[in-house]
Amino acid sequence: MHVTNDPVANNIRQIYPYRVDLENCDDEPLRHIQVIQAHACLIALGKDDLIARYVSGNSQEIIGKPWQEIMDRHMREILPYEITAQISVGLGREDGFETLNPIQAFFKVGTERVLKNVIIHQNGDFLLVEVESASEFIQASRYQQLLSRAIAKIQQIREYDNLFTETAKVIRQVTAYDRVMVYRFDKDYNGEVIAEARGENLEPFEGLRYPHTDIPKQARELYLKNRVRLISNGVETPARLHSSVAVEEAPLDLTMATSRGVSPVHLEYLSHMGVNNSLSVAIVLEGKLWGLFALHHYSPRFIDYSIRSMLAFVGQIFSGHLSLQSANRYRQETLTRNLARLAIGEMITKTRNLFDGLTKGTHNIRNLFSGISGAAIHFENRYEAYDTTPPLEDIQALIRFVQEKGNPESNLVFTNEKIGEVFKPFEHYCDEAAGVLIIFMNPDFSDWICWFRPGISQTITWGGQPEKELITSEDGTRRLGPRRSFARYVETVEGCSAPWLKEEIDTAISLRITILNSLMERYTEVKQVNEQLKKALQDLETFSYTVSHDLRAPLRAINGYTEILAEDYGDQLDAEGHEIITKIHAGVQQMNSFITDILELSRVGSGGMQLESLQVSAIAAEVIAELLPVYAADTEIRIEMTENMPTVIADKRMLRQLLMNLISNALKYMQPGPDSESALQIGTRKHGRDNRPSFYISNTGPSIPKEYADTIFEMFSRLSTQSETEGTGVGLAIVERIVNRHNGKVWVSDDILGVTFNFYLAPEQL
Amino acid sequence: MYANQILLAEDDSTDAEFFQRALRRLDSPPELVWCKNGLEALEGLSDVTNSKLLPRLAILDIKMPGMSGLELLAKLKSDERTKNLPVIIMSSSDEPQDIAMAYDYGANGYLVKPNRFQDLRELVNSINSFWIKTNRLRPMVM
Repeated sequence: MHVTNDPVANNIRQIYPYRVDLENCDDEPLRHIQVIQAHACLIALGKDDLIARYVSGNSQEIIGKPWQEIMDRHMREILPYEITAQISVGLGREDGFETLNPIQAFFKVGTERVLKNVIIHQNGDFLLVEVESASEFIQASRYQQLLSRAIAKIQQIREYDNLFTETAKVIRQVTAYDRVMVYRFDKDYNGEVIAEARGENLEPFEGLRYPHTDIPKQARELYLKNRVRLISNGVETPARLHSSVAVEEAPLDLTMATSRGVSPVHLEYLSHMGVNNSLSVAIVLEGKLWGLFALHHYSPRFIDYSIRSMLAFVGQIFSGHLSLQSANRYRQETLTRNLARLAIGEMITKTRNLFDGLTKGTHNIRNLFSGISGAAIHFENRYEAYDTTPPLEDIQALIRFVQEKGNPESNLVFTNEKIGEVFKPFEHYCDEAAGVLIIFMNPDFSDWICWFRPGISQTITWGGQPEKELITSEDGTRRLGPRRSFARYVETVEGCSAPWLKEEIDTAISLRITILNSLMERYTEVKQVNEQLKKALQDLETFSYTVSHDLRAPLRAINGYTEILAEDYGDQLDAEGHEIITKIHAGVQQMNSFITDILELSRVGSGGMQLESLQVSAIAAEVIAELLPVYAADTEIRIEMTENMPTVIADKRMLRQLLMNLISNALKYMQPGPDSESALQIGTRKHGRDNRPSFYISNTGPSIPKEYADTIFEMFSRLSTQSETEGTGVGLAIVERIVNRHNGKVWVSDDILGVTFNFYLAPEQL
Repeated sequence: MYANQILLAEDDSTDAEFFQRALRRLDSPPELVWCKNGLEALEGLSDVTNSKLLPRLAILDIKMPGMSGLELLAKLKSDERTKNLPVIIMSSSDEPQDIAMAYDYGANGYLVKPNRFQDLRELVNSINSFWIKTNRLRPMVM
């Protein structure tokens, strides 16, 4: 907007002692405004000499002395005795003048003696003495009544939601303002009218939002120091603040002055709104400006200091109540979530599975937070997504983004309500994943849990278009004017999720700790079990070694006596007696081979290995020669063995045992093939992707069912208990142990002649 | 001079009995002196070293209470009067390290106890015909 003459710009130039950049409202140095509102007279006394150095131009009207007669005089010459006496008292007090204000005294204005309220604040090297009207009819007892009624009412409010409206009502009753609003700041200091009490014919403002620029940063800082701000009459000309030559025109800091002049920009703003009088009370929560009681009146009025300080007190009571209620609500919600979190922790411990524990219980990560569109877990290279989530690669890209960007708040938790804005690939997931909450299990960001919240269209009703207007004057000054229109302006914001509340973020952090604890517990458990197993295995080996040796003695006794019986008393036995002796021998024989195998098993499990390059064919031939008379004395068996098989690196004794067990196994379970011929074939072939040479021992006979292919290598496993063939069930377990100790593999297949055992050894790769 | 005796140190009475029975089946069996452990055997031998003749052969089990076969073996082989006495270790263990250790201690032979009585008979037979007969020809150094 272009104007020929901008009175506001002119005013600004007049009220500040130095040039002020007007294009940025945040830069306006409000505390250095060198004017005083017309309702009060301000005298600044040097703290040490108590001589007046600054005097407002309206002193004649208010205390009956022109400012020139006050300047550079000692307070005794200016102020009544009641005041100077109290100033001496206040200077000696630790809490200064807070409990003394207001000090009442009569001033002689013209011919009248007028009762005034004097309010004193210390601000740096100066005492700010403000003199303003005192309402005689407001008695001390009446404040007390009003105050205790207001406090009682506020403290009776149990419902959090009612607190605001009820408080506004109470304040309006006490102050008789046209409009009383509870104005709350969001995290960006945009304001919203969350409750109001207003006169009958007034347009409601409740629900309206005001941009953060309406109350700029330095104004908010002033509210933290000086919590009540009265603008008694927006159209009255303020009084200039004169300064003594002694202070060389240095501006007086008016932060603590209650009658500090008003920025012309703000006055313009109020006049656009039609407000003549405004009274604001800061609500401070945990050291931050939570909001304001904003009181508007459409005609001038003066509010006695006592009522203003009472309102400040009501503001404190209110914020105390607020923090109590929000702490209660926080505690309640945290309690509920804690229960859910503990249940999840228990579930993890119970199921011994992180994924099941997090998702299968009544309480789970899918219902831990409300309004979740989906969740995803990444843990130890496993990824699971639940409900609606973006695809994994995009989530991973997001994780990398968070990792690279670094998380200023904390490394472990990341939250965002509009992730698409900072991370473009998520822009088109706005519907299902506008908000994200991520907890990282470990500092390297590899394991995480991620929750998504859908984007919601939020309707924001602004009290007028939020943008400010640039006003350019003919003389070239440019300034931002306050908003001119306060007509409702509805804006729809897309792509934002419901906010992640503090209690939700805290719950996520606690959940992370719960998960880590459960994992640690599980890890410790597994480690313990492992160690117990190791120990048990060692014990078992020692035990089986000892036992099998000790078992041999009684076995020899049974065998020996049976033989002696047969030899020496054989002629006294009949055929049945001899048959029994044969059966005893068979039993002993079986027991003996059992012991041999167990011993062998414990032997291959422990002890050193002597690796050497060995010819498999040579050892196999030896073994076959040894075994054939035992297993196939009466059977015709065709034996084929590939010549020039590759050598293997192995412990000779173990390799021999391995071949012995596999070949004896083949001979034991051999049955004639399709052409009624029994055959054994030993050879080598390539195996696997890397064409590793493997050896095989194949025999004619029925193939081993697939379901047993793995279990046959377990100890004491035999395919059929009714099997006619003898066996201890330890033989293949020994084979597998030998193969394992040689970093190899053994497996069964049903090719070549029928049943084929394959193995390779690779001890050199250990 | 040797007595026609075999010393057997064996804590298991059944094994001792089998050995005795197997021995008796020989044509002209030597006398068996059975000691239940190494200590008993050492005492018996110290008697004979002073006044009597040494046995032709000592057969020692390894695992015995009090003094083990290997301990006894070491003592015998370190004593001038008994170091030429042929000693055979007879054990149920076929562990290579047991066998190696026996020879390290100076054993003249190592036999694994057969499971079958028949095998024991054959073994005793060959012990008799080899160790006892051949040793008869050797000059005795005291």
